[in-house]
Amino acid sequence: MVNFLFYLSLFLIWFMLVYHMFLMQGGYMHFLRYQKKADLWEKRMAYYPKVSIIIPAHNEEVVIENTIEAMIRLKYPRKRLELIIVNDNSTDNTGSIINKYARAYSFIKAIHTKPPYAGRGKSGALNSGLVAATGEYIVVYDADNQPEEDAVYYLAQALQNDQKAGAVVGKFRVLNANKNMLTSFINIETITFQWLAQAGRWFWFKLTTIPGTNFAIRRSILEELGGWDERALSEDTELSIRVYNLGYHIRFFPAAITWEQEPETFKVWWKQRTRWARGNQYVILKFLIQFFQLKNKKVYLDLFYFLFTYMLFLAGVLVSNLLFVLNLFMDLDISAGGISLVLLVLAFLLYMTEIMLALSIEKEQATFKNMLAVILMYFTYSQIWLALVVYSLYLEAKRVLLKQDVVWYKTQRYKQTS
Amino acid sequence: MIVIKNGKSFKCVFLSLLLILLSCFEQSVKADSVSDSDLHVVIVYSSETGKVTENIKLLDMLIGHFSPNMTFLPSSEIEEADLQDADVLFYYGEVVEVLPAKVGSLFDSFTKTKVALGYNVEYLGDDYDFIQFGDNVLINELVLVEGNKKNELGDRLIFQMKDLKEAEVLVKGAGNGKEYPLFIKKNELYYHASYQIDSLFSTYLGEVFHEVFKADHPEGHPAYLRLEDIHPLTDHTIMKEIADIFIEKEIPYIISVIPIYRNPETGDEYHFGDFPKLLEVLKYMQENGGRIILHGYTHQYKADETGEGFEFWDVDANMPITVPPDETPEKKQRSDFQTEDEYLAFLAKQKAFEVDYIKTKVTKGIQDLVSYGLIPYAFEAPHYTMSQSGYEILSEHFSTYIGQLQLGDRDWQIMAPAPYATSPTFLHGMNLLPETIGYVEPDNPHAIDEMMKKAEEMTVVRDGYIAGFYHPYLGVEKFKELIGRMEQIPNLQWIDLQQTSNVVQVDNITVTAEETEELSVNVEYFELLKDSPEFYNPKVKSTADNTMWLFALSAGGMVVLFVLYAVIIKIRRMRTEKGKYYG
Repeated sequence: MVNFLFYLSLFLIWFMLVYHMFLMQGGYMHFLRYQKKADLWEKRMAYYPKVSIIIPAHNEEVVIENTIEAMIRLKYPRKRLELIIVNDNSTDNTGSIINKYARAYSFIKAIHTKPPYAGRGKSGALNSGLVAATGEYIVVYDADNQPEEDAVYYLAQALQNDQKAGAVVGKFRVLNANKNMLTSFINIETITFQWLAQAGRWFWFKLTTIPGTNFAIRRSILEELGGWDERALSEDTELSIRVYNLGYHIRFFPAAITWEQEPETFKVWWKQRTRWARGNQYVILKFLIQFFQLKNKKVYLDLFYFLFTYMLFLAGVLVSNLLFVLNLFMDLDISAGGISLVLLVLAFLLYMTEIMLALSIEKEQATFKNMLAVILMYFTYSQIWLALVVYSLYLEAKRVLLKQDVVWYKTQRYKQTS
Repeated sequence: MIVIKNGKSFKCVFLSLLLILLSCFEQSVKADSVSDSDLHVVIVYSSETGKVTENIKLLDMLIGHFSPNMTFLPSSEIEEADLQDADVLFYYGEVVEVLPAKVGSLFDSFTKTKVALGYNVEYLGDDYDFIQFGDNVLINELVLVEGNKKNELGDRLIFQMKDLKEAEVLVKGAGNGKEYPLFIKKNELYYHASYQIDSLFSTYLGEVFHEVFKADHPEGHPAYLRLEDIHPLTDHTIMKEIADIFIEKEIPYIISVIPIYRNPETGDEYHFGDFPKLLEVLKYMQENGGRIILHGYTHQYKADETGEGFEFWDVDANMPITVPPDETPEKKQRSDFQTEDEYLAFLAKQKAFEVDYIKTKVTKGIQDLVSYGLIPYAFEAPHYTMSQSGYEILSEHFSTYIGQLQLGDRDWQIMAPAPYATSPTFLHGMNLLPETIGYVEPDNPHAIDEMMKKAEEMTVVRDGYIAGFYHPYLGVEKFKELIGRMEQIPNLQWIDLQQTSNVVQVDNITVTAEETEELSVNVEYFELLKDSPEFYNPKVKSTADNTMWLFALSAGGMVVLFVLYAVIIKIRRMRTEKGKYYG
């Protein structure tokens, strides 16, 4: 029995690791190719389609100004650009800041939502913005984002050249990476996530998940789908799946870059990640229920991936940890022996090399300091994730069982002094 | 070549029903009998209690070579009807007894072959009147008159027959420089002038019984060497070397395999799957003349070490196994109970435990071996100890038994081989391929000489078995000497269990070996999955291990690649930056 559990957990873990290893290979290949595509498309850019940028903002007075300034700096024909800032029931100065810019720039529109139509979360705010949008493409940024000047240009370029793409996702980078240890961990994590999971999945399966910011989507699609699902906690994952269901793919195009803020305190990070984890668990549940209605079979892959990440891989790690601890106190007679030690070492080496390769792709990230951070992360940041998923599973289970309402937690922002 | 046939897992419903119905009637596993006739032999006996004794079992073994069709009757129970279709009539007087007059008249009226052994021959009717006794005489040598084959034995008293007229002496006893008739023949009448029929007597009787049964068996000595007590912790290098010697000499052989090694201190159990190198050698052996037989499941009971302990006999209480190892067995007599029913109920409970115990061990043993691709042909009980009801249980699973036989439930130490292959009634249809010359005792420098002496004795019997065993842990050199010496014995015929008829059958697994046919191993995989999923453990484990190595190998490869990619990126970036700088 113990042996069976041990093997089972080992397999669950290693299916995941092998999949990641495979994804990282794809991510590297995508890195080698995407720039050529960008160069090719640049020559083919026939006209500039009308783009509506929607920025939902709920009590964002600390960051919104920098964000709007970054939007103003965007290199995209002003006439073909529309910036819709949704002031979602803010109680701070957000509204007045937005209004100030709206008055100064004709391409900026301010939308203010008030109860009962306000405070329904990001999805609700985005839907309000969508109503006002006139663009052919909708681009979404979070209120803390500072896209690079050509970000929107690249997004539009990709959508225009790839007719099968329902949406195009750019890359995000961490603005406050050097703030403290937590943000430097998050920086490493996000870079790895994008090159391994996003680029890797795109390369092999033409699958990408919309990350909530720095992406462009055809308005026709949003209209067909009826906008964002206001019940979903992680509206982006949910939207991604629905886009695939329509028969489109979502392109990962790292040429479009935005910089965003990440949580600077553990508490904020915990709340944000709990929301994401719960969101993804909601998605698993929602689409497992309507499993056979999924039109794009590739989505199963992602659902399985989520299922693995949030349930099976988690269970595997927990069981193997438990067995390890029990083994210290009693003789469990696990027969796997030497090979499991080899696998343990390899798992760590894989973790290191995958992350270091992802960091290498970004300029000046594959540093010695970051390498030490990666090692430290393995024993700290990565392990906290276990507790986080268990906690979010508990919350989500409670929500389903007690039929509680979804409460949107807004990530706290920080004033950047640079 | 071993062919594993896939069992028909999915049968029609009515076929399964038929099978279920059939399985209600327990059947023993039958293969061709070693004896070639079906003469009905009636054996009348006189024993202390009127019950079948160890000596009578010996007689059973001696006659079983010629016919399995035997009826044993105490002298007090014989009726005229018992002799109606008898072809040969035996009387064995183990103890002195005044036989009922009816016995004498029945013997008188029986006109076919009659054989008497031991006491009370004076009551066996007029035909035996010619035998007159003098004082008992001491002998220490037996002589087969035909060919003057002599062998020594310890001092024994035999009856002295006087004034033998018209009788032909087949075997003589010699002592103090004189010779005395021991086994005589007068027409169709035979007599053995001793109640002793054990050890060397048995060998000589084995030869002359050929004359009694007019069995013209060709001269030649079936032989085997058995590698003994092969369990998972056996040294695979010695096994491989021995295997290669057998291959080089083209000699088929037998491997006594114990599927589980149990560590007596920790209680840990090891399977062959835990020692893949040994498993590989065993498979190599069975593909090259080595024939595996099941030698128990763990070869121990209670806390004993595998290979040392008794498995099918409670040696501490010297009785059959009737309780789990952690309990003390109850040894009770009829007098301990108020009523016969209570006593019978007590015996039934003990028997039920034993039946379940043996069946389970045998079934697990076979399933374990087959799950590793090791195919057993027969059974050999650890230390040759097995209760009489145990043989009956075994007969449901095996057609062939290898070794020696425990002759009763009184004392495990009373055991014997037959001089030849035989099918005694107490084996319930199983054929015994006897081990007759012993083994190389570790501390006995003359062990091989002693084995050769026994082999020499076996040549008295025209088709006497010359078979012994060897513990591989003694090393290769001693083995070379043993097999070299055995090869010098003239007229040796190495037996191959693949070339004789053997059947092994437990739940969902049937192994059938037939001369001229390929070995057939029939496994009901689907049923096994339901009943004994542990059968699949070796397969699952090897698949799991292989997959883990695959994981490790691919992960190692990718780690190297990822490092390489990172280095390539670094070099390229340095080049372009340099280019920019200088360009």
